[in-house]
Amino acid sequence: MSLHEEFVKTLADLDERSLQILKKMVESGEDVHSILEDIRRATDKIGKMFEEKQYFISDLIMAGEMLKGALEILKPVIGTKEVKKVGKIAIGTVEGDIHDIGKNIVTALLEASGFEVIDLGVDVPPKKFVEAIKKNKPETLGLSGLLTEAIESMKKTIDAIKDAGLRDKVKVIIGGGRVDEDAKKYVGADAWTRDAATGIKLIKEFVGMK
Amino acid sequence: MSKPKREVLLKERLERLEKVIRVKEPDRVPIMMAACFLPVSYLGTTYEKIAFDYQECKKGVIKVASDFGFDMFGCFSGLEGFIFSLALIDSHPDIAPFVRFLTGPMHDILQDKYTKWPGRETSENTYPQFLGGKFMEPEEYGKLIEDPLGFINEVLLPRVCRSLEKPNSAKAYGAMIKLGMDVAKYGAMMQELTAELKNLGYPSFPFAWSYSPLDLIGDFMRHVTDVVVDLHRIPDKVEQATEVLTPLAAKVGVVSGQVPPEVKKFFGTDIVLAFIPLHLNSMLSPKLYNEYYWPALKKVIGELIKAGLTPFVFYEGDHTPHLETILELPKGKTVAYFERADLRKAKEVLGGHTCIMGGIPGSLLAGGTPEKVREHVKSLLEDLKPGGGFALAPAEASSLDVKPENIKALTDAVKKYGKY
Repeated sequence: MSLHEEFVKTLADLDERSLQILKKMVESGEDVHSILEDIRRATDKIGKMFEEKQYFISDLIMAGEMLKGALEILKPVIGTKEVKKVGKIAIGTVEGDIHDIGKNIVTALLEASGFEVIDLGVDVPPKKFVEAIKKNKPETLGLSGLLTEAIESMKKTIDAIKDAGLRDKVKVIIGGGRVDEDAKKYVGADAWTRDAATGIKLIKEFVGMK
Repeated sequence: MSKPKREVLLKERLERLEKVIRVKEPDRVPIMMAACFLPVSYLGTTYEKIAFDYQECKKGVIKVASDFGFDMFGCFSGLEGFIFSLALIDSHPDIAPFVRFLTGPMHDILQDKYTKWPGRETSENTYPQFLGGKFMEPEEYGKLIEDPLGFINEVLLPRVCRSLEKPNSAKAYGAMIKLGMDVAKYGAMMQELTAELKNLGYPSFPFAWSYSPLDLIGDFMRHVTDVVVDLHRIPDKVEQATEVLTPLAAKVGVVSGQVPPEVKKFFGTDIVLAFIPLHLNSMLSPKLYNEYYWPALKKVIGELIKAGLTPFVFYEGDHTPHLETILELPKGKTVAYFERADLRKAKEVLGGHTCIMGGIPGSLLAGGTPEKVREHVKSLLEDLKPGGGFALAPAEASSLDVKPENIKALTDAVKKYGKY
């Protein structure tokens, strides 16, 4: 098995030895782009295993932790190198809600999949989401929230985006343990998800990836 | 409503609930409403007011209970604070159960970092939230295992509560005295509230309090995500810590469930519900759940049953992957309250064995229409009603600050489609 293959396999298996292999690859001067491709492949595999119910949220938490660690190791090597991003997303927990576990897992998985993620934090007022769309021009907006009250807040946010005339500029996905099809329709979003893996899949579809 | 009529209502509702808890068939499916905090827009108030003013809160509960015809209405007006009960269970078992919930005024006194409150850390009309946090390093499991209560009282809580950061200081002593005074105020309000609810024809049950041992570590010590990472890196330590916390969690339950006969007489029931909210359950894979979470929880539940209590377990998140484990508990001795497990599957697995509660998603009440609510209740009851042992309850006990017409549609629908 090549180092690349071993890296992808251990990372997808959530075996922390993968980070040692990564360090070895970096030291031996392996091409950063091919390593990023490995990380993307491992992330895809993890998402697939979640879909197949072989992985659960605890596994996504661990995956998020390891992917964060992997990108941290790569940071100095990437440096100023031009790395092509597959898409751009602005994400935040909506106003009145300060839960961030789900948002953080999604962010880690998205970055590992090659997205540029603008993390707006928690308790984000509608105005800030509108500003982020104007300033950063993401294709996708992620609204996160755990509380039932967050649903009303998501609606207010999307209404503010409509009022600013920006609704057709972004696809909006809502995420959180208590959202569903009813909530999606009510708030006027394009998609909903209760877990990070499905969320990543939907966001990839938005930007035309399979 | 006249007094005799209210008394009949009280008796009817209590019987309905008791039958369901014992997995029997009542006259109609009961609707058990619960909220951590009151619906503020409906009451024309703010979260800050109802969270920090106990009398305002009591008034609100009475208004909601009078306006809507539920079979039971519970509102704790507090956030998760079980660690404080646990901290005192060996030294002061007589008062330990009374600090089980952390209210707004108690947060002001303790200055804890677990919770965020309206008009304090967040704006005045924001829902109060428990976040927990990381207050212990992975290297400290040894100390926790060696002396759990010493570690919690002397190391953990001073890190969590700004008022207790300097043990033996005037600030810390003053905070504990103030906390005692406030606990008395909160307890008196709850007592008055229970009596007023009873006069309105609303039954209540005496409650005991317990906890899932691994959640103690995830919620109050290491944070949810870190405890999951610990389960990968240092599973033995996590397991040992869970083991030492198990008898303590059970003890809080048993002690808080020692209800004197005159109190049972007041409530009019022999059932004492022991509330256990689960948090990590739906995040864990069945492998981790079965190895590290369930064995300790099962022991706690067993101790509570032995003490004559009825464990009332709130299975948060989607508990569907772990449904079968509930069959390991004795038949008819516990209540399974689900947040959003597949209830039809739950009925298939647990029907006739364990009382099932839940079924009303907050998203439906917040975003749906009365027509949709009616349809949902009708279809759900067709599958869940047969044979009894089922109560409708909100999937998540949050504020119910949703369209009032949807709540009305809900109670109407239960009365229409819930009869046996």
